[in-house]
Amino acid sequence: MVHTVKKIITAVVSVVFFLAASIALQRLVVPKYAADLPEGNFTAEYYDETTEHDVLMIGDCEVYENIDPIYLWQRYGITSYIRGNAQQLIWQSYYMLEDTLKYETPKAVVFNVQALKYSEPQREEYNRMALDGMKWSKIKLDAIRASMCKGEKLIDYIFPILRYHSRILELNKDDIRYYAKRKKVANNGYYMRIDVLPVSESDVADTSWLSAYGETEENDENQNLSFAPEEDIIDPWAEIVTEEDDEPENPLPKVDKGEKFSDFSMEYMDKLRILCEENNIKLILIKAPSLAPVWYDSYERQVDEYSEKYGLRYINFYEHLDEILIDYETDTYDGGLHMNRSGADKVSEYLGKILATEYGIGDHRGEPVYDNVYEEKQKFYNDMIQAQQEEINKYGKVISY
Amino acid sequence: MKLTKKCSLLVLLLVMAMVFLQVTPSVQAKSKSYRFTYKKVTVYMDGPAKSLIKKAGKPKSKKVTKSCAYNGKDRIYKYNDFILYTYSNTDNGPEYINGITFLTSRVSTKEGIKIGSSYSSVQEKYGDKKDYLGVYTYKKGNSKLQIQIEDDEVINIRYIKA
Repeated sequence: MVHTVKKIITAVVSVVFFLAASIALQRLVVPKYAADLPEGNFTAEYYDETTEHDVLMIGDCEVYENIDPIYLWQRYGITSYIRGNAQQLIWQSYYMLEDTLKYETPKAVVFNVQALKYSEPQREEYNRMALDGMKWSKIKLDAIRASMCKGEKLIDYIFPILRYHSRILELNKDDIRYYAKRKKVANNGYYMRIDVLPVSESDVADTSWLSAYGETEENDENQNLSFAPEEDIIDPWAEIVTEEDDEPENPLPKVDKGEKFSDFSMEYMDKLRILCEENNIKLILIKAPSLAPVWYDSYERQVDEYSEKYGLRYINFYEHLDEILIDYETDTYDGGLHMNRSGADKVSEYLGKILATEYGIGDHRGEPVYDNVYEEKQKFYNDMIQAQQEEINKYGKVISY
Repeated sequence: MKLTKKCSLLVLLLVMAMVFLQVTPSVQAKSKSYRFTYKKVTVYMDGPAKSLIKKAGKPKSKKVTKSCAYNGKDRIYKYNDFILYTYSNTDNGPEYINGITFLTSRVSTKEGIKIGSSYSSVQEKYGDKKDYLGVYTYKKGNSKLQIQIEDDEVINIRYIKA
């Protein structure tokens, strides 16, 4: 009898120890996103917030790199947070909002419409960066199921050690340093860069299509074409239709093909809108002023129609560049793809004025609980500016961010 | 003591399993992917592109686009005989193969099919397949080979990701 009890205890202890060791090893091998790809920490950072936010911004990099919540606080006393991730798809934005509603109910949600053009999961890496940091719930399960690419398995999300076990031979000092607590990388979800790479010095984007923005011409087949920059790489497959997708695998997207947003994307656009309505949240659609990918007139028409149909405010920042004083020679750190702090603050100034004057989003400056919290946030923000400036002075570029 | 030994053994087995089961993406890709050989350099989908870029020399033109995350770029290299598509996970990190489009009959698939080959030779090498508007798609691991046939002759070939 004693022998049997001993055996049972040994077995139970062994199992518990095995589970604990697995969890410990899992924690060791999951990416820490400290040096590379800090976006991987964005989702989880939200849960460290101790005060609520009147405005929630959701979307992809056009949101988290083009709007500055700390500026919104400093200028208008607006409390806001960006729940965005690299190439965050509209269904992921929907689930981010659902997740957020478990903790707070913002007065307004700002959604960047760029993601509407994506109708299916894109890359596993982006899914992991967006979803691994989400706290476990039915919402997270739904988000994973909606997001998985071909070949991905749900079990790999439930037990990340199955996905990342190969990192056991690639561990670095960040895996030890940030084992217990992740590195803080964002400012209320805002990825800040202060460096400058003018669009004229970069090969990733250009402003030529902006000059013809809104002008379309029809060809003989009654198609709408937007002005397109010169493209000297002609791939024969760009015109060949294959069974899997009507769009070529390696498209050279320089011509407006009149692409319609997919039913799947619009289904989640409806869900997002309805979720806001049910929670008495004002939904504001925006198109951030990133220079690439090109925002075609056909996309614009569809967003215009949708916002008109449902009485939604839609702010297309391309239409206000002169007013906002965006200068793609000084306000971008990557050749026009995303704003640097200078550009993000200009965008935030414009957006903040609308939020404060037209949506009545209140000024919380002077309220002790917010003042204390934002004093700390501003210190982190200013320290980051200083650190980036020091790197620019020393190395000529930002390295650690 | 016995229990401690058992627990230590369990942990050791766990770590060994993680090491033993480690297969890098490029190794997985290599074993289950169509291969393209150019001037004795062989590449495969998701595999390193460096050797091919070096062997192919200066491209006629090159285009770079950035992915949504702040790191990573997609690049398109146009050579006389083919177009090479690559991606990288960091801005200046190593590039990996994303696709290859044939432009001339001077390059061929590993099985010897090139622009101008007969449809019957395609069937012989890759088997019978239903086409879609003249395009035959063959899948192998993480890669696809697409061949367009017109008048019983190959007019276009490309490798893409599955």
